[in-house]
Amino acid sequence: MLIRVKAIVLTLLFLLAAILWFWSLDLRPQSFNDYRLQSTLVKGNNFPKTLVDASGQEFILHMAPQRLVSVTLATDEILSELVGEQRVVGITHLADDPKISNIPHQYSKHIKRINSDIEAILALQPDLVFVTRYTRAETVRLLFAAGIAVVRLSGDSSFKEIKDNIVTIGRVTGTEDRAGKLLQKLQADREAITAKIKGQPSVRVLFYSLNGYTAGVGTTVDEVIGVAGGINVAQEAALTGSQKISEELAIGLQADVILLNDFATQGKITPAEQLMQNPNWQHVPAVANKRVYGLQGRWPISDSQYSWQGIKEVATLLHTNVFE
Amino acid sequence: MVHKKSSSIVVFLLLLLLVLMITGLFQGPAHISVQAALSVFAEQLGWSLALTETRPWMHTVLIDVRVPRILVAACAGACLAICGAVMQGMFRNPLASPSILGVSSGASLGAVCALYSGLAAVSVWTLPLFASVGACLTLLLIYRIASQRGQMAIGTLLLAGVAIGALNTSASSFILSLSLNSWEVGRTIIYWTMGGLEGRTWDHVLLIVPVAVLGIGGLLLFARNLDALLLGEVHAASIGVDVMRTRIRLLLITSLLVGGTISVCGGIGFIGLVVPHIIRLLLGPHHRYLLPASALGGAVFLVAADLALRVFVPEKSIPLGVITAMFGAPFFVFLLIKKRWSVQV
Amino acid sequence: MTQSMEIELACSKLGFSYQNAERCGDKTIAEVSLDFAAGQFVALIGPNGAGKSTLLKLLMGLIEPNDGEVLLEQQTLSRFKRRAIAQRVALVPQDVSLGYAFSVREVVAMGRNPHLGYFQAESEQDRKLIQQALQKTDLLAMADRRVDQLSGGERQRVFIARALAQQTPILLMDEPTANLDLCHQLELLTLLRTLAQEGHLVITAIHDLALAARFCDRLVMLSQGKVVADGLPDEVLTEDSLRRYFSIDARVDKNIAGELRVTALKPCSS
Repeated sequence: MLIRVKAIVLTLLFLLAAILWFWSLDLRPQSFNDYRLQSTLVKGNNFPKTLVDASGQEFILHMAPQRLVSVTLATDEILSELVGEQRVVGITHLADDPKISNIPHQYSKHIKRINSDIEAILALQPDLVFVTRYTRAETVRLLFAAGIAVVRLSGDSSFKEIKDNIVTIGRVTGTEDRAGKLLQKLQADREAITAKIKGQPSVRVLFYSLNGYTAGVGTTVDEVIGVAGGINVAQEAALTGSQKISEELAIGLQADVILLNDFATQGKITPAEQLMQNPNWQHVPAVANKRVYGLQGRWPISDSQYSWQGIKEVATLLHTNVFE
Repeated sequence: MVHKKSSSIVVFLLLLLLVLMITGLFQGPAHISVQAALSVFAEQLGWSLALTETRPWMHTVLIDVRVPRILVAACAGACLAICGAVMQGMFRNPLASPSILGVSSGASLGAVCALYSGLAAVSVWTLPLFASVGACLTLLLIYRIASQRGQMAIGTLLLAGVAIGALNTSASSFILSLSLNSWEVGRTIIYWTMGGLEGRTWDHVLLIVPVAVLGIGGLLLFARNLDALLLGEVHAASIGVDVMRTRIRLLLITSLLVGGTISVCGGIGFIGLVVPHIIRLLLGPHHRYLLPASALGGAVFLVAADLALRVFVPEKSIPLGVITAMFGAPFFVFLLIKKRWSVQV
Repeated sequence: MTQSMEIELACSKLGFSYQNAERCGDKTIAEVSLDFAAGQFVALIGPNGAGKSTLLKLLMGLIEPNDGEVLLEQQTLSRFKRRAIAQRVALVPQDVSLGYAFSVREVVAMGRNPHLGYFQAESEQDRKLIQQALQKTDLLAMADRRVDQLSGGERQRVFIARALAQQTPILLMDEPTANLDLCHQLELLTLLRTLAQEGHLVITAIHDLALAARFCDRLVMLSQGKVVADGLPDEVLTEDSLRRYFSIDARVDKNIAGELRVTALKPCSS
């Protein structure tokens, strides 16, 4: 009997100690932003600039970094536009995969392809490393302790967030001008398309992949469909983010156009043909009117300037009469 | 005669461990020449032995990446193996392993929660904390299920462990399925559950070394009692072993060790189950030698597996749990064939 | 080991029932009060299910009684730590199954556990005591053989040797002769009687009534958890008590050597 009481008391004490210890860790509410860790903040307009990481650590960047390492494909792609190749010493090996990268083999071979092994990163002697919001705290701490600047890029689910990332990368690498020009061009392209399709009736669009995933509110795909003059039927089902839905629901949404995200699949029949031959889908307007298109670009999964390519592609598919 | 053989095997394992650990210091994806490495170590210890020029990044790699990684590997392997030996002795069951009571899956669940919520990226201590809490809550739960009036039913304890373990695993899978919508998170969680020593730093060493030293030291004290427990509850009690108390203490210590190990390296299976059997085939069931030999054997095993990974497949990041199974199983089968008729169940 | 006639082990108003039995209204042990002193060789007898094993376990402190208490050296048993009990009382249980590859000597050596510290190795004295225990139970020849390769009877002797090595003033034995051949049965009981004469307290549960009568100076008969007889073999083993508690018709007389002889004739028709 005494053992049990002792055990319960000890456990409660332990839990209490654990909770107190946890509270004493320096967690600030602004570290969290819709449950996601914030991107690094950059202070200052000219070098030396200060980087403030979401965990509170500050780092002073004395001059524009010359040895950049990127650990995500998004950063690889953005850097390829903003920064000269001589300043990049490490990119991900995903950058050469034509199924997901927009810049395969664009970087010359002597630039090392890495995964996230910390040793490999350190061996490249970088002065700045771009990481993700889910990179472990220990890795970030180690890099800072080794005197290496770390920039965390958080958002990737809306155009605004990608724009912020591009701006941040520009400020951190001292290429604000090029970043500004890039954003202006993207905006101009976008406005050109929206002007062209002005007045066209909205089309009900389902973005789908054969394994059941669709894109709801809060994704770049959703925004692209909206800008390109379509209505994302996933919104009607109150879906957020990238989600797997049942075939029944997908059929029930009765879209007028179906965009298939299976660029990466290879086979004798294209995904579009596969879907159109599927007997369950025969009564969906999109299939009846043969408006099922396989997307040709990697932009649905890109988190960089290449996401904007979707606007043109989708607009062309939705409003065929305008873009003849 | 038995004592001499056992002692020499223990000493051999210790030497093997030291050799492997030192070799591991000089191996890795970053190419550092032996002279440079020696210079860095000399510098760290305060001697000046500049054989060749060294750079600060070499310093970081050797002292802040490799040394912690090897220390963590040794401690984790030792903890898992000795916990397996203790579980097998305590439950008189050759299939017992550190994961049998669901404690390791509880620790996994805690860690997965930390990863999914993103809190693991905030602070170094979040993940170990969640994992330890998960382990202890699981232990408390199964203890409460299996005990009444100060008596503990062993069969019920084991089955409760299986049930709660299954619950924990399914909860982890559920969280994983939620996380697959965001590719980054899902990938992190999957890699973590398969176990690995990526990115271990001195923080992890500070966490696991005291736990390992205290825990393993504590377990070694119970060597005699474990021998007695093998005879049976009644026999053990009649030679002075407080069976209930001993079991509770052993459970507590092993849970802390397992929780600590998992929080630092993820789920590395197989070591706790197989290494004690291998040692038992070589040394016999006396826990006086079995416990320290298992600890050393586990450390050797994990350090060797990590070393093999870095030497032979440095570019790909294959999880450690895969390697331990791939190496361990054939070796175990070889030993079984050699000693077919001596296996004790 | 004291030579005094102080009561070393006693139980007063002991009551206990296993979980299931309680529900049926049966008590495994009910209202048992007994006193034991050094130098006694006591036999616990009774039909199956009378509660002999349970009583021994209660006396050892392996199970806690529901009512009453056990007194060891005039103090409540629950005050003692398990190790302290093991230095004073040794139990040889009935179960002889053992699946692990210890050698005979190693198992007997475990009897020294209560006297050794955590990391303390066995001393010369300990080894001598182990050797003596092996000799007394005729196990020297197989001292290095593996226990799981012995027969049931041989294993029983190993556990008895273990209890002897424990060097305790009190020895409790649960059916120690159950698996032994006749020669070893007699050897064991002679040994136990010698130990009792040297001042130990020996309590043994035993099935064989004749052997009990021959070697023990006190018989305690249990039936359905109660003490129904307690005294000299002549007093306890009567045809009447055998009919009533063992459900057999028997003849009790003396054999040529003058020892009590019990001949079972036929089971009682209820």
